[in-house]
Amino acid sequence: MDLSLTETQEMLRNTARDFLKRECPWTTVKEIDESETGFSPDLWGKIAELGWLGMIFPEEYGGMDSTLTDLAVIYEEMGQALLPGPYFSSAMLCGSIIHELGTDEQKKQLLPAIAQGEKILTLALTEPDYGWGPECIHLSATPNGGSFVLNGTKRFVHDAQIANQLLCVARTGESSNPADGITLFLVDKESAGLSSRNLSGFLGEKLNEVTFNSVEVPAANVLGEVDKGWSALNNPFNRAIVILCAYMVGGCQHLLDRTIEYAQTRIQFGRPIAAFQWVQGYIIGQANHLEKARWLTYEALWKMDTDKPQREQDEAVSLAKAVTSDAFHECGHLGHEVHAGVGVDKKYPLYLYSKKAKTLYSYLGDPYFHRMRVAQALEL
Amino acid sequence: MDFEFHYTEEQEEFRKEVRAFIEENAYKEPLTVVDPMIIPPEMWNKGREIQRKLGAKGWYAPGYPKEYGGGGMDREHRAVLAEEFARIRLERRWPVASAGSTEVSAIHSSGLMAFGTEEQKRRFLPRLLKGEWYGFQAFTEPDAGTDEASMKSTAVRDGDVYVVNGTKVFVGHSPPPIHPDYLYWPAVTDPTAPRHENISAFFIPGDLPGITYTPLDLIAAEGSKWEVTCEDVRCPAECLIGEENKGWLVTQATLAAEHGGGGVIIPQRGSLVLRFIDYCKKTLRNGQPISKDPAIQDILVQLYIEDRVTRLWGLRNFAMAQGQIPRVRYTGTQTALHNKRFSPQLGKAFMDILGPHCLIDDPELKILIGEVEHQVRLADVTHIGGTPETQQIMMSRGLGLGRGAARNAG
Repeated sequence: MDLSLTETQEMLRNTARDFLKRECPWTTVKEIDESETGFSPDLWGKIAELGWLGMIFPEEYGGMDSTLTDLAVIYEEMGQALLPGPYFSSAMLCGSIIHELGTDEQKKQLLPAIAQGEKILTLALTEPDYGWGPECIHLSATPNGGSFVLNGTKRFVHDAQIANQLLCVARTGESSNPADGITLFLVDKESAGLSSRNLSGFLGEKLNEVTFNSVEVPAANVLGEVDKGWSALNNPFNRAIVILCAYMVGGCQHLLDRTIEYAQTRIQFGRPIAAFQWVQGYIIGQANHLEKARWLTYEALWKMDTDKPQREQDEAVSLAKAVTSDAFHECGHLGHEVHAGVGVDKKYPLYLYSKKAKTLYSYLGDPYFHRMRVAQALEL
Repeated sequence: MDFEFHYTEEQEEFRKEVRAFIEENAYKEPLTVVDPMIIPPEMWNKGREIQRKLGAKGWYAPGYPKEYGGGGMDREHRAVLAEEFARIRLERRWPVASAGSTEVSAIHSSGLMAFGTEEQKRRFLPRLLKGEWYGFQAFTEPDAGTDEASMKSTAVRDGDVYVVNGTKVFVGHSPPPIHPDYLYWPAVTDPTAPRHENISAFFIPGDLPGITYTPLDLIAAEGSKWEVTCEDVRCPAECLIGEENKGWLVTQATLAAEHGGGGVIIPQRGSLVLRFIDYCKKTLRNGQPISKDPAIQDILVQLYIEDRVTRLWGLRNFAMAQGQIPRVRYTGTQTALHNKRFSPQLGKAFMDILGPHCLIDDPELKILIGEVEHQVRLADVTHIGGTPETQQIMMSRGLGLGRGAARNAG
């Protein structure tokens, strides 16, 4: 047993920490957050140059063959800095799906472009019948000669405002098992009949509704097998979710550190509020959430990297997401309890974190969804 | 990162040796006693006999220095021992009194190790670390619980002895009528000195005239508990631990060791939570397993999460003690606090899922040989080793809050 980071991981962490401290202070995060695209081409280019986007892809597709834990070390730092942008959507989530399901040709065409940041992809999965299970996929794809015609609506699509391509999860067949008859399509954002609108709301960060009105997609853009798309998503989802958890763990750590610092320096009744036991209790709550999330996430990373049996991987990833979603949200809320008025002022960064925690809470499955997935893994 | 222990051939050979010893000494059939307050004296005595055998092999306090009676073993060998003892305890074939590796009197040695004179160490440590002596940690008093420093016990020097007076409560483990070999007893030696600078610690021989032992009748505890009174007990002066009036430091070192800062290895399989999950999968209600109810599934998974956290934090603390990862000051108390908060959650889950079935230990109807009923009682007993609120205060200090914060702000 050895829970230390490797030398490479230590180095990656230091590089990421230094880079983000320099290039992505919270004022930059706020600026990006308030921009229409939620995207900084400058940062995107620099990070592509650092090689973070394609790190876990095989070398032949422009990557570095890194482990998930290597990448998680960087995502934890990204979460600390709250780096905004389609990094996760494009490189991690869509990249993993393409890596898992793509033909050699598709991989050659897409993965290096994703790694270099030339293409931005995002996943279009959830719909007005919101949920992360296969029963929630209704958008239809009907064969028509050498192509498919897509009709329906995808709601709460992250980063669609900046993506070039959507990875759309569509229904191609109906049967008693909702997991059958689901197919994945690569759809150009500029396709005729496709329209996207940004959903307003202070909290919902860059969430979009994408409408497919007889959008024609060539059969060559099918990813994986027709009708068999759902089960194929399981492993790339596991990989992506655990990386998302690492980002949220970084967010939790930042919230704890910031709240401690504030409590030590904010004076009321003639002493720092850190001296009050109620305040201490809130901060202890943050530390407890953080450490639960951190170690369940690390264990899940290890189980994925060492290719433990499928049941164990599914269980570990869902344990991590169930706890980490909760942890990030609670760390944010408890941070607000301690900061009171200062925390709601946009001149102070706390709200950016608590807002992000709310967006990621349900992304790729909320805590209840994942607890039920654990129940399944435990064969309850 | 690697969350698994890997062993060399030599270490696996050692495991065989440990297993052979355990099989030679263990009960052949699983025990049915779950409540440590009511274990039979003959089982206690068997446990003590095993502890002395372990001590002779250096396996009672395997991580402590050899020259003082410990095992002087490295962490891999200690992990093997811990795993094997955990395994036999889970099979319920090991006497309750014998926790296996590091036990109470080894924990009592921490203060002595840190603050004792060389002469004191030579006199006491071998007896403690070889499991020859069994003692009560006599800290709590009727009017000094969480505020331990306000103790009223006194020890007055009179020639070669200290004359000790006072009462301690909620102490010990041994079932009546078994008394301890010694009492680890702090008392006020300078009533005029400030708090924390007025106390000395003693190992008082357990059979001195003037000591009265009264068993307590409690709802639940981690062993039988006693009230002990000293009335003009003449304790030899050589039983002082560390210097006079430095006893507060001695007892704090012991408490730090007791609170598990060094990390523990908890086996993945066989915890009460896992056994309960298994019970719910195998037990039918209205013709289907209890675990098929989605509301119950959610409760079970939440228990499973907390159980997993307990195990992971044990590994984390262990890795920290080994210097694998940077030390974070609050992790020891965080683990203790987590266990204290989890116990009531588990008790409540039993009530929600089992209803009145969790309240009985009827020989025919008790669940998991009565462990469920026992846990529901234990759920209200969160103060052992310090209330959760005390743990919170200590954790706050570790986080740089409280006292530290006041100092920093000047």
